[in-house]
Amino acid sequence: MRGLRATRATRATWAVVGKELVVLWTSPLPYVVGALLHIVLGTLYVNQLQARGQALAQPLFPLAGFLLIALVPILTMRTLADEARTGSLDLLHAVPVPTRALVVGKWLASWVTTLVVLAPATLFAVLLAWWGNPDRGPIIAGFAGLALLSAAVAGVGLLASSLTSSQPVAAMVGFFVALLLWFAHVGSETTSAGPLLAGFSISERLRSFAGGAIDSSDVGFFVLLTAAALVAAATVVQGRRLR
Amino acid sequence: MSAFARRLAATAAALAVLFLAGVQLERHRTQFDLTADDHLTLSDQTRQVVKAVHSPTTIVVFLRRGEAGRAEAAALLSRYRRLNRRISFRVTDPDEAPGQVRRLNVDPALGGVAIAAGSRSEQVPLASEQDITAGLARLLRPGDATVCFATGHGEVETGLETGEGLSQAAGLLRVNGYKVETVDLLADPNVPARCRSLIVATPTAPLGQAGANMKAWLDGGGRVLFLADPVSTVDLNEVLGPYGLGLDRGIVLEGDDGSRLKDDPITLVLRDYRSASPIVRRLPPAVLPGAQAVSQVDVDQNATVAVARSSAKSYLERQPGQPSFDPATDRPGPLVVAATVEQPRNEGGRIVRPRLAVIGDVDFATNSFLGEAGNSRLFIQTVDWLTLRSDLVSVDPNIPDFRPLELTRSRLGYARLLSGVVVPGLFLLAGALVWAVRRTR
Amino acid sequence: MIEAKGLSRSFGGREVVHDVDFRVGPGEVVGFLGPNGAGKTTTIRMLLGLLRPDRGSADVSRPVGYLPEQFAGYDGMSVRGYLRFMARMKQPPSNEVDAAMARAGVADLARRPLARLSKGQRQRVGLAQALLGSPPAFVLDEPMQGLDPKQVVDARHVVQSLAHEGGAAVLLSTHVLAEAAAICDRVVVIVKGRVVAEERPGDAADLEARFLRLVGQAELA
Repeated sequence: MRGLRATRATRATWAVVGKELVVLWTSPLPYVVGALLHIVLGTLYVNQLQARGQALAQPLFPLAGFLLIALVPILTMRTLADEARTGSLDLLHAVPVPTRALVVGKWLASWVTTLVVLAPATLFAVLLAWWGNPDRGPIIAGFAGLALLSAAVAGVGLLASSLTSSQPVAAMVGFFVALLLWFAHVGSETTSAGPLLAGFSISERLRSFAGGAIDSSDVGFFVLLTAAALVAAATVVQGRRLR
Repeated sequence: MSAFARRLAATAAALAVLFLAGVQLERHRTQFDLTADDHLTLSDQTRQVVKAVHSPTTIVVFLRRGEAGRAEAAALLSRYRRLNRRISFRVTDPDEAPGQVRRLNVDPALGGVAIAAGSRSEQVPLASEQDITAGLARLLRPGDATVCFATGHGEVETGLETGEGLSQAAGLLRVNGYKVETVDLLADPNVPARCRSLIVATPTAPLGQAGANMKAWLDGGGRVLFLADPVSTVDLNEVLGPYGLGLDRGIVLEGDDGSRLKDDPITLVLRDYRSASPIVRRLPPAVLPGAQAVSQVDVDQNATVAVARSSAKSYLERQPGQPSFDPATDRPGPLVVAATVEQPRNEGGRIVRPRLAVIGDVDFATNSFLGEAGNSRLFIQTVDWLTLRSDLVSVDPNIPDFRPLELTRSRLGYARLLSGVVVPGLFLLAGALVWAVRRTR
Repeated sequence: MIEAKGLSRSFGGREVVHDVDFRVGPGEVVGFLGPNGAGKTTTIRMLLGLLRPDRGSADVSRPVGYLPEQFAGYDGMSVRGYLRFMARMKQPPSNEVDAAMARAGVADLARRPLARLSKGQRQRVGLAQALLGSPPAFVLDEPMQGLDPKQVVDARHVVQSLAHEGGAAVLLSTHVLAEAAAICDRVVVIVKGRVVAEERPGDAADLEARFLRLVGQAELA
C-alpha cells in the first residue's frame, strides 16, 4: 500500500513537472528573464575580465548569483499564486493530487527552467578555455554552486508564491527573502548571533563554490534550505486548502 | 488537536530536524578542492601545526573596514577553523577595538594579526598562510624553549646594558616566550641538554674544546647561531666548515648609496634578501654596522642558503687600513653576510635536524642598534627559525597560478556581442517563435 | 453517491451553511438551487474536501468529476495537453482523453491553447476534464454558464446520460430554474445556508412558483 502511494505520488510529481514546464515556456517569462539575465551578466562579467586580465571564472558566479535571486522569484511567482487566484488549484485538490507532488513538481520545473535559462553562461567558460587557460576546478564548482543556489531560491520563490494569490507580491516577497539570505553575513562580526546568521548567507556559500571548493556543508546547506522551503510551502498549500 | 494543527506541528518538527542537520553538517564538513593547484587547501605543514593546537586559540586580524583582503582573510581563517574547532577567528577594525589592539600588542598604525591562546599571544604581519601558521607554531612552542648564550671565550654579554651589550636582545627573546640563559663553555665545554639553541656572539678567545663539543652538539641536532664580526679573529671554521659555510676575514665596504648609511661604507643597509627563508621574509632593511662576509663552501649535499647580501658595488676589504679595492686580495660584491644551513639526517630511524645560522655582524643585535629598522625582527626571526620544531615556519602555501588572458579588441567585441546580443537575441527569438506557433493553432 | 451529513460552516462568526443534509444516489441528477449567497458554493467546497466543515461530514464516491463555477485551466496549454495532464492526475490515470473531448464537444479544439478559447469553449473543456476517468460522482457548479442554446441542449444530454446511462450520482448547482426543471430528478433548495426543500422539480413554471415561495418564506423567517 505504501509503495503504491509512493509510485502514485511520483507519477503525479512528474506529470506536474511536465505541465509546469509547458505553462512556463509558453509564457513570455523565461525568454524575457533569460534575455535580461544574459545582457546584464555579460556586460558586468566582461568588464571584470577586462579589468583583471586573467582567465578567471570566479567573478562570474557572484554576479550570476545576485541576478538569480532577483530573477528566479519572477519565474516562480506564478506557480502557486496564480493557481490559487484562478481556482485551478481547487480542481487539483478535488482530485485530490498529493500536496507533496504539487509542491515538488512545481519546484522541480522552476529549477529546471532556471538551469536552462542560466545555461548559456557556460559559454563564458568556453571562451575562457579558448582564449586562455582557466582553472577548470572553480568553473565546475562555481556552476555547481549556482545550480544549488537556484534550487534554493526556486524553493524560496515557491514558498513566497504559496503565501499569496498575487504574482507581483509573490515575486517581491521571494526576492526580499532571497536578498536577506544573500546579505545574512553582513555585520556578522559585530553581533553575537553573527556566526549563526553568517551560516545562512547564500552569497558566502556561493563564494566558497566560486573559489573552486565543494564543501559538504555548503552543499548540505542549499539542499536543506531547499527542503525547508518546500516543507513550509507544502504546509501553506495544505493550510490554505483546508481553511 | 485538529488535523491542521498536527500538520503544523509536524512541519515545525521537520524544520527543526533540517536545522539540526545543518548544524551537524557544519560541524563535520569535508571539502573537495577542485582548483588545479589546490590553493584552497592548507599546506601539509599548516595541517601539522593546526592539528597540534589543543587549547582554545583566537586569531584576530586587524584590517580596517573597506581595506582589501578582509574577505580573503576570513576565508583563509575559516579553513584553519575547519581543520580544528579550537581555533576561532575575528576580522576586526583596529579603530573600533583600540583596547584589543593594545592588549594584543598590535601596532595600531600597521594593523596585523594577533594569535592568542590563554595569556600568551603572538603577532604576525599579514593574514597569510605563512604568517599565521608560523605564529601558531610559535604559540605552540613549548614554554620552556631555552636559548643559551655562550660565555667564557670573550663573547658579547647579555648582561651588559651599555651600547655594545646584548641585554636588549635577551629581553626581546624573553618577551617572545623564550627562557634565556648563559652557559659558560669554558668552565664546562659541554652544551647543556636544556638549550634548544645556542648563540655564540663573537668570541674573542679560541674556543678550544668548546668548539669541538659545539660541533658534536650541532651534529646531534643542535641549533647554533654564530654572530661573527670583523673585530674577532677567532677561527670558527672548525664548526662551520663541515656544514658548507665559512667566514671570510675582512670587512665589507659598501659602495651603493642605497645600501649603506649616508657616506658610511662600513654600515650596510641590507635590502637584498634573495631567499625565501623565513628569517628574512617580509623583513624591512636591516642595519649592519661593520660586517664580515660569509662564504659558502661547496660541500656535497649541503643545504646552505644565502639569506642576505650586500650590493654589487660592495667588496670585501682584507686590509681595512688601506680601503681601496685590490683585485688580487679583495673579493668583489655582492657578498653574503648572512647564511643558514639545515642538514637533516636519518640517524637510526630518528630524523635529526642540525640547524646553523651565521650572520657576519654582531653589532646589529647590540643595544645600540637593535632598535634600528629590521634588526630586531632579523634577530628574533633567526632564533625562531633555529628553535622551532621541524620545519614548521617554512610553510610553503599552495598559491594559485597566474593565468593570463589577453583580451584583444576583437575578442572583447566578440564577447560583448555574444553575451549582449546573440544570447539575449536567441532567447527573444525563441519566445517569439513559440508565440507565433501558438497563434496558428 | 454524494452525501452531506449535517454540514455546517461559519466565516467570521456568521454561519453560512447550517446543518445541510442531502443525498444523491447513483443514477440520479439532483439540482442544487438557491439564490446568490445562499451557501451553494460553500457546501460544494465542503463536499469536495476543499473546505473543512465546522460540523458534520461529507461522503462522496471518489474519484469525483468536478466542474467549478469559474473553470480555469492553464492558459499556455493546448486543450489536449491540459486534458492529458488532468487524466494523469486522476486515480487511476485514464486514457480516454479523446473520448471525453468528443463527449464535451471540444474534439476540434484539441491543439488550441486554452488562452484562445471562448468562455463557452472553455466551459466545455471543464466539462471534458470532469468526465475523465468515468467517475461515479459528479459535482457540477453552474455547468451551462456561457454556453449557447445548442450547446446547452448538448450539455444537458451529456449530464443526463451520466446518471441515467452511466449510473453516476450527479449534483448540479444552478440558478436557472428551467434548467433544473429540464434535467433534474430532484432538487434541493438552499436559502440562507439551510435546506428548505427537497422535492421533484415538476414543470418549469410550477418549480418557479414554488421556489419563489420558499425563498420568500425563508427570507421572512
